[in-house]
Amino acid sequence: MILRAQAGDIEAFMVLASRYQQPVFRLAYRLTGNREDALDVAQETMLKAFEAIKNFKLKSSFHTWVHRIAFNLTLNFLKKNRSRKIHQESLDRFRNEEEKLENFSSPEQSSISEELRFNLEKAIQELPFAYRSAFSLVVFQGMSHSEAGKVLGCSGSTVSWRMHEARKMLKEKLKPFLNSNKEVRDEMRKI
Amino acid sequence: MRCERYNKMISDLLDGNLSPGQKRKLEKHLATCKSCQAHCEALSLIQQEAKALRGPDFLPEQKREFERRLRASFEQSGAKKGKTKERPKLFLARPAWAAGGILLLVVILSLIFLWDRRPPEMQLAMMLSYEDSYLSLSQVIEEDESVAQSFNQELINSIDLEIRMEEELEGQDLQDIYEQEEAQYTENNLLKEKFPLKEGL
Repeated sequence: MILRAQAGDIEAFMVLASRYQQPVFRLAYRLTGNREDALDVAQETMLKAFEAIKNFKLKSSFHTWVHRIAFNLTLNFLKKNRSRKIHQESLDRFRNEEEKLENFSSPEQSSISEELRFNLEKAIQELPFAYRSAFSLVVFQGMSHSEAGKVLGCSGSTVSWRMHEARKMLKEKLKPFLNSNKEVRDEMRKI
Repeated sequence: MRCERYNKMISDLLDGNLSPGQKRKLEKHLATCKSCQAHCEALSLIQQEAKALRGPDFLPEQKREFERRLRASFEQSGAKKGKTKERPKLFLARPAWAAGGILLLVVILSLIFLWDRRPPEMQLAMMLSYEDSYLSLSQVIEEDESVAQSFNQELINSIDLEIRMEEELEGQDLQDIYEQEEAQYTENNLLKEKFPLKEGL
């Protein structure tokens, strides 16, 4: 498929684009915090990838390559729009009734988990950019440290260190919610 | 300090970036350290909840719109690429124009610099062989009296010059002339040699 796309086959590239548009959109959303901006970045990423695919060496992974383009474009976008207020849309999903009810056994636990997720989403958005990007690539995009390092332009050990620091920051911010969640779960276990 | 190192190992464990040896070490430590156990539990919960935060999905109509815009952009980009492919044709046209210009310039310069302004008689003489030019000269002399007169005058002058030079040489002895010439040659050449003949021997 990549070879066909490299030969200029638009349909072949559309197949690749439909496979990667969602993860790229999610990464851009995690980094910009805005759905519209993320859509624009995702579209620009695909266009850039289409223009540059002839230069893509099959030695590296297409997945990592596309994410690197997306990351660089997001970085440029954020530099250009530094003064602009980034909208926080991360809580939209919680209005969806289906997601509210998923996998929770009791109303009390459901409410506490919801609160934890709400604050976790907020805490992730508040992480410094370098830590947020590492966290997004590893946790949300499922990349290994070395893959994330290739996207971010640093080593795998740097990603490992950023992940450790990001988790410490998240734990610190979520301490009250983690404790209440633990208490509820302990009580649930007793019952 | 020691626990900080294990805390980082917990983070690596959650990302699947821990070797089996390190994993055994961590498990051994966790069995005895309650602080690290609590840390591990908290991070596991954060990891679990974070994984559940999948991020926004494309709605079907958003997906269609995204793909439609993308396809339009690709086609536009492809059309641009097609246009850029035509560029060599334009570049091919330019050397043709350049070659035409150079040729025109060469013709103009040749007309300017090679245009012969000499009288037609002389031009004719230049184009002919020695015999032809002599014939042509005699024709010109026959046709134009002023040319004939100047030609005769030049001829008489050259004969006079020849006679004067012979008269000057007649008064001198030939032996004296040779000696003078030899002395002049010695002065000019042999005395200026860097390595005299003696040293060479």
